[in-house]
Amino acid sequence: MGNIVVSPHDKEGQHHMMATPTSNNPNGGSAATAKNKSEITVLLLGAGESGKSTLFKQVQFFHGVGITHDQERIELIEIVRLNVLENAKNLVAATQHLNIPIEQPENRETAKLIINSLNTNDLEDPSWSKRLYSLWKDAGIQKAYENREKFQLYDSTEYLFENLDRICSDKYVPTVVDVIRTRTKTIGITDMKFDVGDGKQLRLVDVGGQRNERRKWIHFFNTVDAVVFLTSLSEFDLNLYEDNGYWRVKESLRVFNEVVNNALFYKVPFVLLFNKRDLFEKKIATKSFSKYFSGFNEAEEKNPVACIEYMTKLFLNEITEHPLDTVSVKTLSAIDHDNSKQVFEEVKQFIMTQQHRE
Amino acid sequence: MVNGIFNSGRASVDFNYRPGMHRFADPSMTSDRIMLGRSPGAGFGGMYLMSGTSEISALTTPSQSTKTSFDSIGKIWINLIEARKLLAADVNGTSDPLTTRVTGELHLQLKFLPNNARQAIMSPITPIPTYSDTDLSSERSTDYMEQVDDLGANFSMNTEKMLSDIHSARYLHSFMKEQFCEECLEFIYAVEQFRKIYKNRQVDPKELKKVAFVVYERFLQFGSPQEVAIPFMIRVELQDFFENKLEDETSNILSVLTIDVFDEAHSIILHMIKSDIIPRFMYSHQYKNWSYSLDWSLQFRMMEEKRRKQSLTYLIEMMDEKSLQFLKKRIIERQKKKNSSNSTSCNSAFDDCDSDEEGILEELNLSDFKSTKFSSTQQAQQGQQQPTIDMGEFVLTL
Repeated sequence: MGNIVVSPHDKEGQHHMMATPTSNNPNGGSAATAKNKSEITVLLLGAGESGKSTLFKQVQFFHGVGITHDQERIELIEIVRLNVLENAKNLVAATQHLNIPIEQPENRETAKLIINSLNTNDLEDPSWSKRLYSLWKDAGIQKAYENREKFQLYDSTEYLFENLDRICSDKYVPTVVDVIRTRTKTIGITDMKFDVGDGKQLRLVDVGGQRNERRKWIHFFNTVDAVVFLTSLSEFDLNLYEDNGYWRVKESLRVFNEVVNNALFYKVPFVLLFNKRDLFEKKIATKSFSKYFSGFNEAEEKNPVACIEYMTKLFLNEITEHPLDTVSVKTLSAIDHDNSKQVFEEVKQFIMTQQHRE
Repeated sequence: MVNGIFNSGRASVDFNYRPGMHRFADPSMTSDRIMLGRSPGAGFGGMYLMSGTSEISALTTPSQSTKTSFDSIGKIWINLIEARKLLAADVNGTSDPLTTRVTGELHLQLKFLPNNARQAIMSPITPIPTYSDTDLSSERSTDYMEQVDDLGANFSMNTEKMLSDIHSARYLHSFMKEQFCEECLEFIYAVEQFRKIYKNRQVDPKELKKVAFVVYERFLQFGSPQEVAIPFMIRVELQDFFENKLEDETSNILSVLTIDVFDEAHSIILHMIKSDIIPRFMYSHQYKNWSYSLDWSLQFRMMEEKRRKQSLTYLIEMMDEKSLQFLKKRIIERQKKKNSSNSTSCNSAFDDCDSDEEGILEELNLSDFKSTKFSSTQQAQQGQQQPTIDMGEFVLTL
């Protein structure tokens, strides 16, 4: 495993960089000649909530950057708690929106407080753990949760509510899993660098995925050496955050089409990662997959392998310009540390071999 | 009062550190007129401001006449006061980003606002009194000390507080620009400007409508040049509001356009900045520079505090033996002159010099130095009783 490059601003080594910020100059690696490049820029692309930042955090973590240290994670307490509150607010708002009453009167009180006045400092009080948990277990909230495809809710909701007793405590220190499961909407573009041997550095670039963020991607298209495109398997029943009438799979396919057939990427190795495999397997057990894909054989809809195969075909059909032998397809569960480590190693190997062949 | 001291998580107060980057951008205060320097080896109190080197040599060259020497002190003093006001404005972040250039090279100038709207408001941030109109009472100094204590006790970062201070916000803005997300911060400021204009009753409702449209068209419309990521429902509501309701309304604009029109979007974007950008920002070199600058501004504030209490002592500390002797002599002369004020035998040159002195002495605000605390600490430091010169209005211990 490589060493983490410490930026010049961090000479004392006091702070482990969460991301090693480099100048986001689009010509960042242009000092090296095209033939003997010392820096490999890998873009993480994909539509919103496809797991780009989760993978990015995992890569940071297994390179020993940032969140490996308690001290670093303490600073993220507020973020985790903000996530809890946001999830609670979304759920309560959904019960109103879907016209599902919250059953217990004391839970209704809690809901009112959440909407109006609760802030992250209040969550230090352990009594909130019980109140929020009881709200979460309320039949009305659970019913809304079952219908979560009808509104916008994060995948981490269940995890956070099940861990309330830890989070609502004044001694709380977020665990690595907590930080990885925390959902934050990435805005802008951020990157990190690490050594990959042979005197080469890999520069991983994480971007925001919403429509308004995508126009910023162009800043990096010139210098890119590999593209990792993520798409979420479990989004087949969901609509977009930025456009509630637009199916997420359609959006992913559209973005994928634009990226993979872009003239700048013809010679660039391309990896397509189907993320959230774990969630997908759970989801197809209870939901009909074939309802959303008319071309899919209904008899196979409980078989995850067949479903993923179908999705793969769907995406590969979009490729019209890019040479198929430089495209690699993998599945991933980014919240699983071991799995993402293994997949990222494979992706790295694939990119390096492609580079070498060039 | 929103003030400029923030809790910087990594702010180690290193009193020997002085960032070289800090500079004055005000064209009237170029660096050759006012120099910020510090004597090598001197402690914190040794930091001084001085006007050009020729005047310093006037102080120290024995061959110069004592009169010139005193004039020089006066000039230095006036420059000190000017520089102090300027620096205080800069450190407090009170300089108006729309009109002055005191804060530095980067301004969160929102150029898209119409001209007259720009005049209607002062600044997107809460105004903080500048040094000149700051009350010098002890009330502020305890407030200040509480803030210093707070800095030590509480390391968490307050985003709202940071954004309300233009000096700090420019570090965040520079970081966000590097990460291609500056539109979020600019949106926050635009909404705050809108609220400020709204509160100003003299603004024409039509003008207000124009401002609201400018904000909408720049940040919130589908496909706008600096579109921010807000949820679909809110965007649709805003679209409906701006493109149907507000567009048609011409008579009673204020009944439709309320001050909270952008509130939801504002709080969502603020939340995004808090949860995504601030954690990233805390690992950036801009954050580091910012915390150094806070260290420095903390130092400056402490210096301010010290100087506010001991301003004359401070001036005297700077003097060499000869000038000090001169000042003592001069004060006695003044005293004598005052006693025989009915006497008419004064030459004109002496008169001119006198009027100069009056100006300086007014600025000195010597009434502070009547306080027994001051004289007692002075005596304790000096270890011996010094001659006291009574000047009628104030008691000065030398």
